[in-house]
Amino acid sequence: MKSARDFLGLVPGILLLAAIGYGGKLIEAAYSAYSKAHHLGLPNIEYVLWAILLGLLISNTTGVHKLFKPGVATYEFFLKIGIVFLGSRFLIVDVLKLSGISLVLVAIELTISIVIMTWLGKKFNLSPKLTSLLAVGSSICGVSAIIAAKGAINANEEDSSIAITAILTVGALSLFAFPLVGRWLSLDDAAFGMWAGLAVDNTAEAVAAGALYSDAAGKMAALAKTARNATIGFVVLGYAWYYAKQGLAKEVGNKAKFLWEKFPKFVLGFLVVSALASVGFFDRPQLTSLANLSKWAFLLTFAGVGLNTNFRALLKQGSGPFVVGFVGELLIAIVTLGLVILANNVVGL
Amino acid sequence: MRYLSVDTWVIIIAVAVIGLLRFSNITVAW
Repeated sequence: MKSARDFLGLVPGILLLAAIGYGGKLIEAAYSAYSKAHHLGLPNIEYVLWAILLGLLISNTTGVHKLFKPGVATYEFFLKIGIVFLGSRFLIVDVLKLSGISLVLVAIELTISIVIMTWLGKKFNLSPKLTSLLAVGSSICGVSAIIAAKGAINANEEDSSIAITAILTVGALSLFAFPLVGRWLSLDDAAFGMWAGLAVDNTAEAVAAGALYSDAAGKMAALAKTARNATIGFVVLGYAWYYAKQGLAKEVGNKAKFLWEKFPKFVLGFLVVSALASVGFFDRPQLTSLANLSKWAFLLTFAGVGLNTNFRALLKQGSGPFVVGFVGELLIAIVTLGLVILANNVVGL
Repeated sequence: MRYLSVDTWVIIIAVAVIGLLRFSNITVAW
């Protein structure tokens, strides 16, 4: 009975996500119709931005009522299932090629961001564990990486919530800053998507930043970010080993089991769907349906990104971790941009 | 919901939805 009640408790929040997402879609259509009817020639504003803005408006004015909170938190579920369905839009050979490139770039980015974050953390007198959490959050995948690392390196609650807030703030800024920089530099869709996937922290924000740029960039951002997420276990294991050696955390027993536990399983779903689509398991209308389902799931995710971003709460944090997160992230974004442009010119994305 | 992880739910629902799409005439519009 309790689980049935838990399930029903999700319904109001999911309906709110759907209403905001669909509202974003309706506003896009109305805005573009108005612009055309009055020959205003306004630039097209995609549903992605409208959905995020509507969510931001609610969370920063009236706030999200507690009735909606459990359902709103399911946006992570919609994000992941959206990525799984998105697999239908990739041939498995492309996935392997692009995720191979992503992984090479991730390895370089990881090394650089750990060096930068460790240096900045020392400069700003942050505790070593907080610095490690910020490094993991900025190099891999934001919140889920910080949570995974927290247990493994035995960091305290306060350090992890500070790191999460700092990473979320930088993620919210990147969401809007990245598309502007991309337009300014006239990056092509593939390069921009790869850049957003590798440098924007949280998965939802990375996919949203890509989708704000273009549909193709959103698709690429989701792939690059998924490849980046897949490395989480290795990095966390590295940190756990480092802190265990210093006697500051428990030794990891079975390493293979640890890696499997930390591995984001939805990535396997994405790979299976892409493989099925590549061998002709689906016909054309079915592929279109899967791609549309993925867009619907992302629509709810983008509404959730807005609803979960509260500027007042983000501003309350101390300046130290935020400055470290921001400066570190800025440097990482610049380095990653250079790497992506190089990869685009050398091997093609 | 708390007994299974989000990733497990993602896989379960994805398998169900994909099965439904593949073996029926249902289509999803945008």
